Amino acid sequence: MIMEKLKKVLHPHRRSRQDPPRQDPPNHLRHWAVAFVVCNFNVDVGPEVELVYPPSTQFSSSDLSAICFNSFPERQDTETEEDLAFHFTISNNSPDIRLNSPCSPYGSASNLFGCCIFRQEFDDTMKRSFNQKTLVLISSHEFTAFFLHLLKQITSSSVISDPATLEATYSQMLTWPAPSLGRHELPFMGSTIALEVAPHPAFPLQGLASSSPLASNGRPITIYAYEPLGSWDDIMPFMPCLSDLDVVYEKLLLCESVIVLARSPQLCSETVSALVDLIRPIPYAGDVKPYMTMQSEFRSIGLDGGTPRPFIIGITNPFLLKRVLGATENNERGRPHVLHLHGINGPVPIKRHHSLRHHTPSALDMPGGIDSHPSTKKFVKSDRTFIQSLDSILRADSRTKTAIGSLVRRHYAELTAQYLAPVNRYLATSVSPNFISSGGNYRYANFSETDFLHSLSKYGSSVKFRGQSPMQRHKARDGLYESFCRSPNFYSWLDMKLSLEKEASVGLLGSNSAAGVS
Amino acid sequence: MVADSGAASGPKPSSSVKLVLLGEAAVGKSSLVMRFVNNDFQENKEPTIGAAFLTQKCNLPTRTIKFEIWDTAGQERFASLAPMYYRNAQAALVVYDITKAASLTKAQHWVAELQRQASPGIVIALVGNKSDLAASPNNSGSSSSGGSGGALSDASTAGDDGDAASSTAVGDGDDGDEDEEGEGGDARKVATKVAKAYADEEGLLFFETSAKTGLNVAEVFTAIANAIPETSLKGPRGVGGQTHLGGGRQEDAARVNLTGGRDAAGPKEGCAC
Repeated sequence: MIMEKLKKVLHPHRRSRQDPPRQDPPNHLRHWAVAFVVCNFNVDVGPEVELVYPPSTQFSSSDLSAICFNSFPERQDTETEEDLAFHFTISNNSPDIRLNSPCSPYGSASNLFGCCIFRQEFDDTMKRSFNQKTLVLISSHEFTAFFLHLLKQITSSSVISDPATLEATYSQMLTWPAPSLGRHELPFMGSTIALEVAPHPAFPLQGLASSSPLASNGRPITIYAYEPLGSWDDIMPFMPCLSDLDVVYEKLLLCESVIVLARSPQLCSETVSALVDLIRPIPYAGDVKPYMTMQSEFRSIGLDGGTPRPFIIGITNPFLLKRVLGATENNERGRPHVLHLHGINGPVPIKRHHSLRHHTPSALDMPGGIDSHPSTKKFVKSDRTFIQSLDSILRADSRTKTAIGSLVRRHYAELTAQYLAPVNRYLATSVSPNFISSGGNYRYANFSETDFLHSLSKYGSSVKFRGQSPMQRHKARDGLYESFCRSPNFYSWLDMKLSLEKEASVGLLGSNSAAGVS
Repeated sequence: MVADSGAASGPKPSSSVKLVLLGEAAVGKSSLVMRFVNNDFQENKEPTIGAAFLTQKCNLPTRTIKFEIWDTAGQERFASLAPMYYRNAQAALVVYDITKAASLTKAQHWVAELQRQASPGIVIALVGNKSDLAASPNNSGSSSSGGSGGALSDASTAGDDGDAASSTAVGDGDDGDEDEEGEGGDARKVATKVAKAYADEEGLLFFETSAKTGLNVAEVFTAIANAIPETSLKGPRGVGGQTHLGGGRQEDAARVNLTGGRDAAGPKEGCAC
């Protein structure tokens, strides 16, 4: 049925004469998503694809198998009763799948983003007494929170795998205008969803307001396309200690590698998403893989022969941790930081304010006999009031949902803004009139690290640094900024800043052009 | 956020109403909507997949209603999706085909399901479509009688006499053959009287329409707009969003309001009391 519709809108010139029977959806129908895939865990065979909708989607077999393997938890947990919602990122190795977005955001050319709902149902006719299936939505857009919302809506009251539902969902999405920056009101399966697409994924604090407890029955009124998935309220109880947050923050700020090890794909992928959010508006420039399994492809993060790159990955398998750590051993970048999320039994698990230097690794801490991370150099001073308020919320029984989430997100957003202020100040003063191009776009002079550090020592930074004496603190400060300016994050941030300013100035130019020209 | 803010003062209050269309495949749901929204008609429309979403405003003397219309697929394979579409709906159009007796049975199933599972205050209209296929003269005239409340919205065509006149209708369903003005043209299989009686019994608005000619189409929507109790109207946004609102109050208002001829004058302000 849907094919009939598709035929009508196909660009005639796009169709090659050789394969008229093949009715691929034309690219412009893939504005939002590429396809739905239902994966089934077959006890005898392993994960297998049960259906792909639309069926004509030209996934390469390697991508299909990657989708399959990333769509299931690696640990068998017979107590899983609720659906697991998680997401993964794989390289797009399907040459026939291109997303053709007519306007920004264009979607990723190199990655496919998968959003999953995994369901385990008791079924005594099955060998293992369980039926395990995952519904995956594949897209080139990283609108993870939005897509997971869609998936939850269509699976909450029905089965995971229903071709008619997927057909209805897909055909609904075909009626949507292509994604663009700003607000969309999208009809979806009986309700309207408001979606906000920020000008850049790294905009800070996306979705913070919408996650207020007023949103009825957990359904957000407005979804921000790039809002983080994990709520710190859910993650925090699994943190090894509160001050670890500062350590990971600093690692991410400097674009170093982090491995999140958690018990479920939901927890690890949500944590990766929530962590990357902490350093916004700095776009983490390393590879972000919210969930990887033993079968994942590791070349993309620089292992198994790939070019070494910084990464943040989420895993659930201790053996995989061993393997990744082993593979990064000879890496001059240093060992990735491992954040092991394990629920500690006990009502108030998080009060261990030990500095990492005194952290003694215990066998319980890391599975597989892996040492806990060695002491980590820290530049930024932990904010005692912040840690204390976190602690008191965690201790209070009646903590309101989102109390921790907004506290954590606001704290780090402010910290990042404070951190960036000297860089912004330096860049602003470095704008030279000679660099104003004919189009009115100003350009920055060459960035000089020495000049910047001069400017930094002159004007200072409002971030609090570690150290007993002013000298030590200055050293820590210079060390942090120096490392940042040499990290890929600096360039990803600068790139974002420049492109946003350019877009803004183009907009300005449009409105002022009449008056501006004398 | 606040429930009744939409009913505040202002030029002319405007509110959104979620409306769902249900009914067997090929009874003309999408055609009704297309007539209402675009004033257009297409023969042999392809079947709807899942549901289509459209909006249309309806101007009443005292307020403007913006219908958010969910035109669902009639095909059986999509039946399981229906609850998603009628969830939080304030109005439903349950459509059957007057030339197909089975489609009324299906419509009755939908009505029962809505009464059981949809929002308590939902306004339901039973609509017999394709009235252009019935033998013309008195049928089309009489069938416009929305006996129950709704019809009075516009020049209450018929009221009670409507019922009387609709005796034209063929005896309970089956063969419309020789019964009335045969003229070769009468494909009617569902008597107006039968459907109307059922509608009255269940407290539904009732209309016979033709999406093809446009007969009574706007009237259905106007009648629904009038029948929506003001208490259930909210601002332009968040119509049925908050389930904890509404509750009993709204339920009574709507249910009582629509039943029987007794409150034929009632729905004007959409308030039972």
